[in-house]
Amino acid sequence: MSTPEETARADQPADATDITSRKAGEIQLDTAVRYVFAACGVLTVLVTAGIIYVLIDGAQVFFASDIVDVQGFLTGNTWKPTSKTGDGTYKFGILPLVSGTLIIVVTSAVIALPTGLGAAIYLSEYASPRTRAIFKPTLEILAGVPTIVYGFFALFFITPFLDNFFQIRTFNALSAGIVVGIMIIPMVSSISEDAISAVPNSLREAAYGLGSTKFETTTRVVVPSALSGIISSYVLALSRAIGETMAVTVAAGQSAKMPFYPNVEQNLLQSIETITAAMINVASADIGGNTPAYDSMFALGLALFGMTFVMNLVAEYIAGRYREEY
Amino acid sequence: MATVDRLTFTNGLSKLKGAAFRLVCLGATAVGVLALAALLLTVTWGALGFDAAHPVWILVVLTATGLSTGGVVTYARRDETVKLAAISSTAALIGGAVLGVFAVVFQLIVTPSVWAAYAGGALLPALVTALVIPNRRYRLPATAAVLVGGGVVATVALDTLTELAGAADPWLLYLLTIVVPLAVLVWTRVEPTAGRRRAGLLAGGLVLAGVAVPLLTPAPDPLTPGLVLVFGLALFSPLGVLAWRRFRNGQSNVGLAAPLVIVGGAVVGVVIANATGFAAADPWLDWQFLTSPHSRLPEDAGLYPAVVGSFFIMMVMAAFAFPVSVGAAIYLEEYAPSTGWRGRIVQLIQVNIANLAGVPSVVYGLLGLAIIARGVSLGPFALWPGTGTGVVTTAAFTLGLLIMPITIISAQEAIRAVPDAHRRASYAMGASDWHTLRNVVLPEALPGILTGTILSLGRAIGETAPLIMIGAATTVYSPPTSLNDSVSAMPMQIYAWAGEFIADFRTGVLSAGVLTLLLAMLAINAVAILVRNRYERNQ
Repeated sequence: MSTPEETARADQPADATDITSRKAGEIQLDTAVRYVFAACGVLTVLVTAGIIYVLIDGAQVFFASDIVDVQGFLTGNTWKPTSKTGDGTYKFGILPLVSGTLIIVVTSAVIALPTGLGAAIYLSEYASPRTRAIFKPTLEILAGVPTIVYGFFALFFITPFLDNFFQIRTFNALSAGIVVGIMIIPMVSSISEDAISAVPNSLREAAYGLGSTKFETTTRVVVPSALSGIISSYVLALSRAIGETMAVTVAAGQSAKMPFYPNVEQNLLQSIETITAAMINVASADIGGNTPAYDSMFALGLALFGMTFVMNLVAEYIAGRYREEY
Repeated sequence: MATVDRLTFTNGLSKLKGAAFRLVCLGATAVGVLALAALLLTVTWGALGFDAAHPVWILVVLTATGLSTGGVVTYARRDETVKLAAISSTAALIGGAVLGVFAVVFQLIVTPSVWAAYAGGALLPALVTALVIPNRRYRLPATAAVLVGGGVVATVALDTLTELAGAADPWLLYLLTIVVPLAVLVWTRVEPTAGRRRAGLLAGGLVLAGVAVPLLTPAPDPLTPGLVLVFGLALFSPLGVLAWRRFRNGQSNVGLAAPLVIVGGAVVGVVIANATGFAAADPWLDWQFLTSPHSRLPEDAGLYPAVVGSFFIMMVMAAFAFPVSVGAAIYLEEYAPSTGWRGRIVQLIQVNIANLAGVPSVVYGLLGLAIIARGVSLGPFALWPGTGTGVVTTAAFTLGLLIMPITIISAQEAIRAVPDAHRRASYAMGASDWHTLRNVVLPEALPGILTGTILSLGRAIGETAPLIMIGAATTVYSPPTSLNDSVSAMPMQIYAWAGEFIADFRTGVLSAGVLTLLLAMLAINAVAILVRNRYERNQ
């Protein structure tokens, strides 16, 4: 803390000598403050390093045991970490979990990508300031609703509703995918809207000048110009859908299975298990540390982290690389 | 003629296409709003037990509430001052409620006697010093000295002081350490402008309320009369400040009654509806729910330990995560070099923060489990001792790391919004980096920083997956009172109820829990919006 004299001096115009001759203590204070803040910045790097270290260390312990090797983990088609299968062994194959995650991602993408883009176009091109003032905060609230609440919503509202139309299980991939879709709409719409709003008005005016209608201007000029931002929002939203945990744990069930073929519709109507849900189920299964199941969480975490990390980087790359320069 | 026909035809078609497209886009926007409405309706319906009520009962209550709300809205619309007062008083009450919950949880954790020891030993003497010393120049250092000195004395003599304070009723301690000083403060603020009589009435009324409220309200277990007093003070103090400011500026205070009228309308509606004799709603979300722990019977189950746990975690988390996040944001915006190899490292840090914001929360849970809970050691040296699985500290640190990236990004945006001209003006007057930061940049960026940090609190309160990963219990029966107690949180208890066998748990009790969680989140977001709006108005 500085003394009041110093504060007073900073508040008033200083005389000429003050500019050239700073007290030694002041310079030391400046340097010290700078290092403290820099340390805060470095902490964020340590967090990333910590995450990577924890995941790799845990996964390496997991693969070092003779239960499963990397190849078996990546190609195995049974996931039974806490209860033994018929042949008396635990099974750690990630494929059913990957399939579950993909089902959720595809379902949510079908819901959220067109809806989010439509909302972004409406908010930036059509909505009056008054309508915008209502819709935008509402979408922000939608983004802030805890994910476990979405799980509850899927289980007790969407599934009973879908039950009127399909032969659907209590825990099913469809309703979980739908709520994950609803959850990521705000992410698509807000980032896409930023990109669409950034398209300069001169482009729109040029299109109108050539005789285009508003519809033609929007679909042939504005949206293509903002495409990099829109795609980047898509990738980020899908990355979020991959990492989504509680909604799918609560609503999609806990049975890891390989995809149904040729009865593909069963993939949506039956219960599934995603990578994230598998981690939660192992963690809440009350097993001790240093068991294969415990270590498997880190291998799953590594796979999850790898997927989302790559997708986030891709989103950033697209947004930066293909940005239209106006 | 033929050309004209073709033109009108094309125009008609493209108009139709345009209108259809506009409608589709509007529909897409409405999907989100409708989903939110359906969600809130389902949850509220279940939590307030409307299933049990007769349609007539529901109709009467909704009509009365609608009438009072409609009346307030119509009245407030005619007059801009009334409208502003109605909105700000509602916001002040919501803010007061959030403040009240934090204050009660804080008092639960520190216990009244420890609070009294520090309040009597350090806070009150510091307050007196600040009020007594007239010279601005000496006021701050003298107050700080008294605060630190008193704190040291209180810590040294803590056992004696707490024993002394423990003899008195907690409510009396709060009366002496909070109500009376507050009355004095009100007196010194109000007396110069409003005169002795009004100031005396206000201060006297405050003390009287402090004596009367706890004596009149039956203290429902586990909340003592003292805690009711603390909550009441926190609930109404923002409204009081608001009313005083408006009074001082000569504005009408009629609009402040808006929330009271709306709630009053609902209460009258319930009374009338009960009088009709039709089956009433049987709310799951009631006082019993908020003050009991989980139970095997749905009727007796409650969220109390989880509520305390959630707010406890958030307080510890905020104390650790906010300074670090703001510090990192300041470094990146104000100090970090942008050129050379150092600049490239800073760029890397920036990319890294953006990436951290996208890491799934369940992965943070693994970090919390393996490092924060279990500790790290380098050979024989323990770098971090490990705080243990499922305790308050572990949960707070894990969630703190989780919200750090989003807090940093929003703080950076707030700092970036400060015009460069202000910094240059400060430097031109000979101020150093630190002085410029402290006196120019931070005061201007503070509301933006606060908004971002409060919003991240709203995100943290709903996080479940990381807590499960670090081994937090889904159900605890008594609220945590120290940093090393095992803790549950609202979403954890909700998760547990979703898997209960008895149907009432999965419908009524679960809805009540979800509504509590949503209300807490919405209230916190409302506080953030309040801060932001105030800031935008001032600009």
